Amino acid sequence: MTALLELDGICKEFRTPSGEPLRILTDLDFAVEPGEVVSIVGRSGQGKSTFLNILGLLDRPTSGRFICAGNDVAGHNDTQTSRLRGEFFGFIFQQFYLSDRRSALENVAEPFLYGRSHAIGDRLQVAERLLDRVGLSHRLHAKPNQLSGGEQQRVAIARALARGPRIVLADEPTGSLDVGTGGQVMDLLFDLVRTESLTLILVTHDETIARSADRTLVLRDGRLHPGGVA
Amino acid sequence: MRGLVLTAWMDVRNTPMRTIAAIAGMIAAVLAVVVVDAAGVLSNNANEEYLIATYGRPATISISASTSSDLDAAILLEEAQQFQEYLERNGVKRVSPTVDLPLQVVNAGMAVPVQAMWVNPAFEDIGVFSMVAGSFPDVTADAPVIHVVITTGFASQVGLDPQAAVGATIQFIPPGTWNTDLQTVRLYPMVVDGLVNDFGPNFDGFQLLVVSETFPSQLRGIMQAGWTIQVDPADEAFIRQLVGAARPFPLSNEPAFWIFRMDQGESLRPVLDQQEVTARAVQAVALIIGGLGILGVGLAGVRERSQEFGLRRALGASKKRVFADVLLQTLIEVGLAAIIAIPAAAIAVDVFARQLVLESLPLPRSTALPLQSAARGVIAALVVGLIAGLLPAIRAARTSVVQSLRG
Repeated sequence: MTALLELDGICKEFRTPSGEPLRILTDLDFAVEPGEVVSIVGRSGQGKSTFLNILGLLDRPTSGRFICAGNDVAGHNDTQTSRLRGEFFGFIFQQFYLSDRRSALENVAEPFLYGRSHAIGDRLQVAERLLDRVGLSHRLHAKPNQLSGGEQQRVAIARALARGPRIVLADEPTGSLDVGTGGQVMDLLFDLVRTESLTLILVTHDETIARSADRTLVLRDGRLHPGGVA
Repeated sequence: MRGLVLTAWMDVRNTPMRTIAAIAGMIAAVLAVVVVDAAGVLSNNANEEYLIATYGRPATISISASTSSDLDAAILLEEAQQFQEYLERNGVKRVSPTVDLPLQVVNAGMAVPVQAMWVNPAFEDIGVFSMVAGSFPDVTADAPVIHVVITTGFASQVGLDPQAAVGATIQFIPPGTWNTDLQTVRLYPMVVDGLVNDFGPNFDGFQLLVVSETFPSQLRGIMQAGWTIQVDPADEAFIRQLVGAARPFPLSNEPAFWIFRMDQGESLRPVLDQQEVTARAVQAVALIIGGLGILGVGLAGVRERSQEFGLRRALGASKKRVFADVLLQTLIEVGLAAIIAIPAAAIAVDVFARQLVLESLPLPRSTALPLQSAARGVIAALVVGLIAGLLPAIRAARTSVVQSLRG
């Protein structure tokens, strides 16, 4: 099967305040196939979020080759990269990042505002359907500060799925939730991605969640290693 | 485009306090721009209406020329005639030559100086005045007697009953005559054909007009000639160009020409021009202050909303799109400021019209807010919004996604 994403020899360096280069990712290889659920684990500071940012086209690698749906993204300009990011990826963050000034419905519909015009007209209907699927049909017009943590993350999940992405990237999706609520949110997420045959790549510290994935990779010393939990 | 407009509108709608803070200064700025602009427009309208009502169209323009004092009057008149022909060849049809006359008239055995002017009969249509009695002289070149129009004040000054002045004869001493001994000097008669209260603001101060087709031989000795012409105000610049291009008088290699509109437009123009300069200065200051308000609120907003811009980038917005979001939000805000300010300006202009229009002018027929002032206010606001919104928009577009979404 053709890989949906393929990273080959990816390196990522930062400059420390003193000007010294700090290498976070070193000659990292990674590939993921459609419908696969992959969990990334690793100790803090190993570069899990950096890896996820590169995967989601939020950051560029210092070197290496990145093939996304058969296209080398190295030559893409910002507009092309942004379009690909919006259409191909859905993001779920630990802090939810919902707009406090917008209702749940408007938050879920927001990605449509940055996409193609023809989809904008139906955005609220699609958002309503998605909120129904995450069990929040009764909270459409609630603002984030009127929702519990679990409800906010469910809104964020619905938003990540709004534009029909091929890959969902989740960075510590249960990091701000208690164990019980986190479990419920993950059950919902796994259920949705498997029903929709989406690819899910999630970064987590939670062993239980990591074990629920089809494949678990450990990020250590700048490279991904197959196997159990860190 | 639809998504862009929706996003910008939602940003404005969802942050009412920020919007109020951003547009408060701009409302004041647009109000000032529109009201000050309207003051100028209304003053100009009032001036135009006054000119039309008082002087009619076209406008009266005076061209004056003088030559060196040792030049013979006959030569001056000949050259003046050539200049008049030059004007007429170039399409100026309503021309009346004028010559200032330092006459003296005899009153109760005394020689009394009088401010007089020679004109030809065409002057009747060019000058603006109403006859109180008698008629404007219609005399031929060969008329042996000089025919004049005098003011009622002058009639009284020389002992004539204004009611019976028409037809009376006045004795005068011609210009250039130094002998004022009434026993020995030669006196000439002039007949009063018409009486006016005054010769209008164009010819303020003149007491007597000598009217004849050609310059009367009895009045030789003058040194200054002029022409009063009627043109459409729109042709004023052409006339100035035409006179500027006229060759100097051939014998004297002179004169210098002076051109001025004799109606109120000329005297008020510097005041109106000054008003416009002041207005532009006030508008510029108001817009700068309004723009700085927009800029300050915009920059503060970008700093506070960095996470929001990072999220937009994550959801698929490009840098250009974030730039456009912020710029359009600013333009919507200044548009709202204009929507609020312009009706307020319309009320203010109507209520304070008397204070806004130059005191020396009557109010114009309409004191409604001139459309061009409203349009200038909107355009100025949008331009300032565009400029003041650039820096926040650039900063928003440069927001680092990774930094702003770091947990």
